[in-house]
Amino acid sequence: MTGLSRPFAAPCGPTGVARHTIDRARTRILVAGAAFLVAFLAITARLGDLALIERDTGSRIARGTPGDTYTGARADITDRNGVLLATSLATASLFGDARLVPNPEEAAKKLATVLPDIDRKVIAERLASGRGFVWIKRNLTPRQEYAVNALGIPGLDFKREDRRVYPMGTLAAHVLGFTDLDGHGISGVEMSLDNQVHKRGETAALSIDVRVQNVLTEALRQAMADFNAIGAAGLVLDVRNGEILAMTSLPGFDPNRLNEAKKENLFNRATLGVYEMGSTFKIFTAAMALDYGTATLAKSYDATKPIQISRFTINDYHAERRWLSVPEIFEVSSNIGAARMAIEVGPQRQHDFLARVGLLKPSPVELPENGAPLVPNPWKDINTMTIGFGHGISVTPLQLATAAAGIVNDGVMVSPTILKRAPGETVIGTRVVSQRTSLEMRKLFRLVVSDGTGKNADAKGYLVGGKTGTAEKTEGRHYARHALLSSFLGVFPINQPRYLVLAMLDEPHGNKKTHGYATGGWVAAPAVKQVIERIAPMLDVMPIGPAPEIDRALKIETADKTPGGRKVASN
Amino acid sequence: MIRHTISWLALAIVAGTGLFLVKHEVQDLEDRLAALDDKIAKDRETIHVLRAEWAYLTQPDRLSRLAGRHLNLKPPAAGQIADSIDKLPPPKDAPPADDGAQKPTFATMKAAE
Repeated sequence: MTGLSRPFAAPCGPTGVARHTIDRARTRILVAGAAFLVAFLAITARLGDLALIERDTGSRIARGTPGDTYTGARADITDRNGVLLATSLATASLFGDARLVPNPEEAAKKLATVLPDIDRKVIAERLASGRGFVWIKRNLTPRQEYAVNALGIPGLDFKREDRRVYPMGTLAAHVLGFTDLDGHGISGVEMSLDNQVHKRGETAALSIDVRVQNVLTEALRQAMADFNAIGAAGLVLDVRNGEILAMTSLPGFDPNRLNEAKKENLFNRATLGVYEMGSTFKIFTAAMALDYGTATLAKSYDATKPIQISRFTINDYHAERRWLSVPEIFEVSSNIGAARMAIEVGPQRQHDFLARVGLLKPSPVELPENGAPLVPNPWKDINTMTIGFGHGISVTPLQLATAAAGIVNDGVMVSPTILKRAPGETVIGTRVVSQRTSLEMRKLFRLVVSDGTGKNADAKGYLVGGKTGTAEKTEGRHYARHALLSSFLGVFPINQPRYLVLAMLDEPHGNKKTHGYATGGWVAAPAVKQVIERIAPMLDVMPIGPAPEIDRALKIETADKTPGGRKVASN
Repeated sequence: MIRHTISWLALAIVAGTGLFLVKHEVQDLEDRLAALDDKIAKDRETIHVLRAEWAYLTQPDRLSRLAGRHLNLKPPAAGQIADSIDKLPPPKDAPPADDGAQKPTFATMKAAE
């Protein structure tokens, strides 16, 4: 506007300059009005948009759902069926401000009445230290929290902390491992999955099945008690995709009560311990000889007398003192025969073969407790012979199981895993022996259980095949005749292998039922049988009745066997 | 002119009151939302604790101990498992299949098919 002296729409009648001014003013009003109109229209449109039209915006979703887990908490670990194995629960941790506690002695005395496991002296010292923050006890139970509150000691307070709990207790404790007080994994899966579980907060599903785990643990615990063994280890492996369904090391520990656990019990025998496996290694001797073509199932070896090489004598546990065919060597577990078979293949090829089945380097399993095999260097003829029957090389039970699974799984070995594989996931393995060798090996496995040293593992209906193993433990530089490591490696159903069960007992002692024998066939094979009978229905392996056609398919055609003339050794 | 002013004023008052009411309603809803979020979080935590407790109470060895004490059951043997009903042997005390007066059993039911 041009001012009060020239009012809008002057009544004196527009002429000349005045008219021009009025026109200009109108234009200005029009422009301003148009601008406001546009602005109001925009606001109206936006209001209508917000109020009337519904749409899913990202921000609404984010605000509408509070986090699944508390911040900073570790995620859960479950078994393959979603059963909780490890979780974090919020607990109260008691701390004190030492500057505010009036009477440390008195306070410590009072606290000791409701928290029985604290050390009164230590607490009194801490509370007298004058520091602003001292821990008194972490992870109290709700009842303890209430009791401490009721004491009414000034200067004490609670801090909310997450405590890792393992609802299954000792079950699968070695696989799970544990965390330190601040929630960092320091062993087992807790350690190897620290990033996944801690930072990304994703629930980790393991390949373990708690039911199978329980059956295996119970069977081994029973065997350990029956035969007075100092330890035991075992595992159940899916031979097709390498999933570890159960893995046990005994004696075990309770990760919820770590401070009560004996240190040596934290040791995982199944993956960290390396052992001279004994006769189960004949699996690889036979597979290698058959695969390289130096032996056939019809070939025989001289086992009439012990082999003398440098200062060693290779002998059989129950000597047959005659020529033995390859199936017989496997069936009666002849060391002499296995040694001759191995030396025929030669050190270099044996080395290559064992490298191929992954026995010369640590297993690729996702556990920090992973033992490195002890391999001879240099690899001489004598080593070749002793390795032929499982002495002079030490591997972990998991390595042994993985390699044996590869041989029976149509010759394709897959990496073992402790994590659940996605259903239908194609697992790429490496071919370690030909399909033909694999079939021949399966026949040998079956022979051991149907007629040989592994009869005690014959779970009727499940077509078990396997190999016994008994190793004498070294004590210093000598083998201790009566300190044995007895094992049995079983596979079922052997015509179409699905699962492998390995049981190993450390220093078992024979009892009346086993006629004093403490060998693999007597102490470990029954445990494997028990495990297979219990887990097969859980794992959808149906028992079959008498099936002559399958028996025939697994039969080995041998030229001249003298029935009744054979005696079965239990080695 | 004055009429216009009054009507605009009235409109402004109505709009203002409406806005005020809506704002309050939104605030109420937001409070409710916060309370519900809180409750959901608490419930989640409770569920979490209960899940842990459930897992603890369903430890396989505890279940087998309880089953041993309270149930007259034991693990099945291979001979007790069949993958189809045809493979079941007839029950030992099975009545003759043509006896319609008998209580139906697996055998009679099969015969009736």
